[in-house]
Amino acid sequence: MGNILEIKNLSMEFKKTGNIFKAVDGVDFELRKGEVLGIIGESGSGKSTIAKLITGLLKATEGQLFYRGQELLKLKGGERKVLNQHIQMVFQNAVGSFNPRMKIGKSIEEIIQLLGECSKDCLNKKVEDLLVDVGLKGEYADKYPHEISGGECQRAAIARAMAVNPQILICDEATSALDVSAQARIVDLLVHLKEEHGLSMLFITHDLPLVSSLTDRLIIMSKGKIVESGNTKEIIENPKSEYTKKLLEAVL
Amino acid sequence: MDRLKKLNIPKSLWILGTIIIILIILSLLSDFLVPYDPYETCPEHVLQPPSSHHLLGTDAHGRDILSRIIVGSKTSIFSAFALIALAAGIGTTVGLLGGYFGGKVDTVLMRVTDVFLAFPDMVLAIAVAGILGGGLVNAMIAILATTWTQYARLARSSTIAIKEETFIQAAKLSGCSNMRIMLRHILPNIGGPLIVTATLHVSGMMMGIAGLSFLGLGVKVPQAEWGSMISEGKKFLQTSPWVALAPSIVMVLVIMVFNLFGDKLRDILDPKSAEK
Repeated sequence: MGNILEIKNLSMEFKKTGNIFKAVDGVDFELRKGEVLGIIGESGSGKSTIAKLITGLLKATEGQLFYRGQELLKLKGGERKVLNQHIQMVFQNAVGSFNPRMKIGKSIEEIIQLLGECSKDCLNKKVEDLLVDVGLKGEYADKYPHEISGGECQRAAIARAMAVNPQILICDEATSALDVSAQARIVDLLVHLKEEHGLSMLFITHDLPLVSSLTDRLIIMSKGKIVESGNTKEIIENPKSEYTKKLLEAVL
Repeated sequence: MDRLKKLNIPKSLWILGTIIIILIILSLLSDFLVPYDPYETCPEHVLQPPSSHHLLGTDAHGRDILSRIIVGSKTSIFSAFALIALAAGIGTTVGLLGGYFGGKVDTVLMRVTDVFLAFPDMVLAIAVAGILGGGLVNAMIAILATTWTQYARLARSSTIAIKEETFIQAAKLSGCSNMRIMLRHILPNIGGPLIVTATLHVSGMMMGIAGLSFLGLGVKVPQAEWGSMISEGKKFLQTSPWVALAPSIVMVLVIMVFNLFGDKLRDILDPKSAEK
């Protein structure tokens, strides 16, 4: 398996009233094609910032990002946007990730029109197909985000992300706002999509038990740095760093 | 229409809305509705009290006051609407740009806004009208100069509050340009408070124009306008009070209707109060 995404010495600084806060501090890792990589860490450990840096929502202060050997941070606005065809993201706040004044279907249409290839006639059909693929009914296209549940909204968000057939799907705490049964179903859906489309996934969470079944490899983060990385099974059975041990103890 | 029904619009809003629509139609058709020519002077009927011939009496030149009030409504209502449209348009654009882009763009736009805000609005309006000279258009420019800042401030703060929302990030990942995000995603979501401000502002604009006309800086003299009519009538307040009182009372009533409408509209569009 080749590397689809390589991250080298990535750093992100936020300036707050004179103080410099390093949210991400010299992080190196790679995402292999077709694998699920979990990033675990407590809140404030910089894991969400990494997601935003990869998708281009934030501009990194330092470091390099390679997508299939292409240096991402050097790309200008327009070229960078086109890359969103390849890298998409699912957010924690499912309902909040849809414009409250737009129907679900319109939000999905928007991404297809702007980034995808689809004629006007097949647009409705494509939206319906996408919704069915994630286990929703086609009628959901005509609903507003507040009219459906959080779990359904997260499915619609996944449908939107999948609308452009991305290579990499980043899930930023995609399940943590949902109840346990909805969580399990979303994870099932993600596994299914991954196998069907050969997705590479970056699964960011603070929920250790959840990732143990889903991910191939793990990265444990604390205070903007990687404290441990490796095979999921190995880390859970034989953690090396103190931080990981504490994290595991807290769960067990 | 489905969404309108869901909003559960109270009866009072329907009634006020109907009154406003009737007012607008009346002022549009004012030229055909007037019982007398509002500009025809009649030396024999000077300062006549209200009677069956002249329902609201006549003024110092023998002109029918009711006719002048009806014709004047066109000036008052439509110049108020035009002012609001311009002020809201300019202000919202400035606020949206400043709030969305932040940084230097925001600083420059907001300092310009601050300069306009620094003057008390009526004083600035009088100064502008004084420099440009009288006339309705100049009076409108004068009022516009101070009004748009309120929309700019409001649009900016709402934009800043909303631009960090997840759906804006999702829109960016959907390939939306900045322009598209501002128009399709931010504007519809900050529109509510702006519309409410605009409706509540209609009365303010009417008073502003009437105020400038009252001071002789608004419409030119023979033209029928409520402010200038009150101004003319104040000389006869003790002998023939109807000349000033009739347009005053009409103005108070119309302004009240617009204010109540704005209040009710706010109750509906404000999500917090809509829960009740």
